[in-house]
Amino acid sequence: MLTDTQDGKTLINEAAYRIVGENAPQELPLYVTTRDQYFADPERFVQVVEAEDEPSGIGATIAVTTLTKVVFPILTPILSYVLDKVAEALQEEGSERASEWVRSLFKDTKPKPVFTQAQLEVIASTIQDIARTEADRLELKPLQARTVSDSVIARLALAKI
Amino acid sequence: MQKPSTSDRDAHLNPFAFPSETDIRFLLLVLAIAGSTMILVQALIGIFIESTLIAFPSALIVTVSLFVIAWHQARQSAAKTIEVNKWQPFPPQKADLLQSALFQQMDRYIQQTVANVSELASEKIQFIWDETSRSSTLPTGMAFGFGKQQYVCLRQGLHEAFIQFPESPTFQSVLMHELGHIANRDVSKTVFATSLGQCFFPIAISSVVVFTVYTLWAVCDRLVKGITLDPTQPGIREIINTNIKIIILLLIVEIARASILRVREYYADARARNWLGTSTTLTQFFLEQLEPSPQKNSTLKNKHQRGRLYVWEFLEQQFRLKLAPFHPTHHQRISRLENPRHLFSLSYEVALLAGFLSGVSLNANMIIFSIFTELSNFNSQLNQSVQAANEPTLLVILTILLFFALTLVFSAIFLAVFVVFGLIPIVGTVGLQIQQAAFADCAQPTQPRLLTLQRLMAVSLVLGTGFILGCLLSPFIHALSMRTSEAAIPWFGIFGLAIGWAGVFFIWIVSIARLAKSLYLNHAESSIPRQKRRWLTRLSGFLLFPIFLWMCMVQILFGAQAVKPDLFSVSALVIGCMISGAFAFVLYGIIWVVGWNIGSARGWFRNPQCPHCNSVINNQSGLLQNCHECDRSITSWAWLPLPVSLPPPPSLFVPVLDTPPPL
Repeated sequence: MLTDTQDGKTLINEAAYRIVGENAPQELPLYVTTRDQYFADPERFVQVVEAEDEPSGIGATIAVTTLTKVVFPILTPILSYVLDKVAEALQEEGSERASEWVRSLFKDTKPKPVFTQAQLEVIASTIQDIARTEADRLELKPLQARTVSDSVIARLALAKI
Repeated sequence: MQKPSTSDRDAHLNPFAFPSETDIRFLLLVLAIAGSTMILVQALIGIFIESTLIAFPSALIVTVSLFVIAWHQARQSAAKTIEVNKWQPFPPQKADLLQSALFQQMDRYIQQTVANVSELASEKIQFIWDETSRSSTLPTGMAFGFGKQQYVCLRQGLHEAFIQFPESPTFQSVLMHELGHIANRDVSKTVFATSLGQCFFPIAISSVVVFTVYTLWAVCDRLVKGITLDPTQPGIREIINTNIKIIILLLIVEIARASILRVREYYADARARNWLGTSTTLTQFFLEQLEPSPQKNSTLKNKHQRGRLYVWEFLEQQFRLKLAPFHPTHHQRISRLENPRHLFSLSYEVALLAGFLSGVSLNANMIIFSIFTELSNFNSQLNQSVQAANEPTLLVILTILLFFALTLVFSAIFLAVFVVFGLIPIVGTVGLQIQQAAFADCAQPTQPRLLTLQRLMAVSLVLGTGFILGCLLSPFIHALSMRTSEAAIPWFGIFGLAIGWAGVFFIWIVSIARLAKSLYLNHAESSIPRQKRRWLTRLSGFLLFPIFLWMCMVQILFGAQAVKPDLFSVSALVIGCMISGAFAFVLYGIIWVVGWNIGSARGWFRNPQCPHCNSVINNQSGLLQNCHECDRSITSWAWLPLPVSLPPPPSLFVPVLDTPPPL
């Protein structure tokens, strides 16, 4: 899993920061705390807190779902998949190169074109499937999951041959 | 925040012009716990000592001690809660500059909001930050504290809601709601109610245990001694019966306690609505909570995954859900937010609880009658001593003085028991609700009526039935009990008594409604009619006294006749009751006339004058907001106040860096 390695965490950090910065910059003050909570225990991070009927509170409420909370669990499997696909495309250059290539997607530099239009269409469709499945499994808002997957797909489009 | 138009405001009466239902239910809880503690302690002592002269004062001492301990616990609870949960002052210290800036902004917004609300001007609120508790990620808050120490706990999830404010209504709804609790001064009552529960339940549960142990011991003792169980059986049945009634009493106390927590939410919502000037924000917030949420589904799934619920857990859950929930449903809250007139309506639940608690407490404390017997015995002994003495004159004087002193003390205690446990649970609850419903009806005659004849009859019947149920379910047999193991009033007789009580309450309720209508409709001032309300509440107590006492006497005499049929014939009893009833109602009429005259002499029942132009105001077609001559506000106390001016929504510029924050 990407979150097990420092390299993987760095990649997630760069991609997630860029996605949140572009789509919900007002949430950036929450970014570091949320990211650290996710990297500390990704399994616990996605566990749902049960709304309690606390005698002195306002009543049962549901958690606020910010994009920052959704981006990490959705992005991790998407980036794993993209890494595999880039590694396949860059067979001769090794996995380290693949990681660098994916990181470059989320920087201002234009990445080296590696995918054809047909390949990109398959990749985009798979990324959307992953986002949908994960959102369903983890009970996250589908719209926010879609924002994450669309951001990655938009970046990949720059890498068309 | 846009202010509502005058016509929007015109439609709603101010629910804070009268004591809230929270206060009414709090009074019921206090009386329920005081009454129940008296009952249980007297019974516990009664196992070992038969003398009422010891049992009654001991029960009184235990009851007062319970309230003192609960008061002390309530005072300590806020500091303890903060310490145990490791909560910290708000805003918390954060190393991250962006996060720190956002906290500062949130703090500024909250402080500005508090400063703009006049109802909070006298409060010194401390804000506390919670990021440690299990549910801290949820966007909630909690008002707590006691007396002058008032706190609002802000949860971590609320910080996230603040980021989404004003697009999302969550932050503002939660903040205003919690501040609403502080302005309504219900926080101390809630904390005290919780502490009372914590102190009362150990006493109650230990009573159940002692009675059960006593039952088992009695059975085993007879078995060991080889005595047949036959004579013991009625006793055992009685004790089992008693245990069941004690458990019912405990459940009633818990229902009353939970109902305070539930009802106070409506008033906190109403206060927030007043400040915001619209119900939209809060309604939208509750509607969001109603939407099918993945989190709610997961809660259900978790419960199914856990497999079987233990029976106890299931029963507790059902009791909490059906009978004693801590919060109203979101639908109920939305309905009251959209029409605050609901807050003026009569509550049958309050009427039932009030009747029940009055019946059970008054009956149980009728043990005071036994003191009278003991006093008579004591007096006979004194008489004998006087006759045997060498210098009788001095002793005769001393005896007479002692007799009168004891009779005076007994009468004072009897009156106090009668007023505290019999009248106050009804006058301070149903009586006040009648006052405010009558006011709402006459202020807005075009709105659907709250006090229709059917409703008045229904509430009287509920109150009467509650009283009879209280007497029937009283764990121990006293003067007002109607069914004992030896003899009982037949069920049709009990039904007749319930109708009799309903009739008495109906007459009383109609009188209060009539007086309240004249009193409040003619109150053309800016301040709320606190003095008039207190006067009417006292008068309604005086009015109820003779007919309530008469009906108690009827019930006691019928109960005595059922136990000893040769005491007096039914026909003699009926005639006696009718004659005493006539006296009671004549006294009732006299009190009513005197009350009316006092009110008239103070000018409370005639058409008021405009305080600005002195023209006579005719309110017969409803409560006027403005004088028809000078068009200035004359009854601002009765209508929703103008919304407060809230600070502008925050805007924080967050720079997006080229490189993400390092890991």
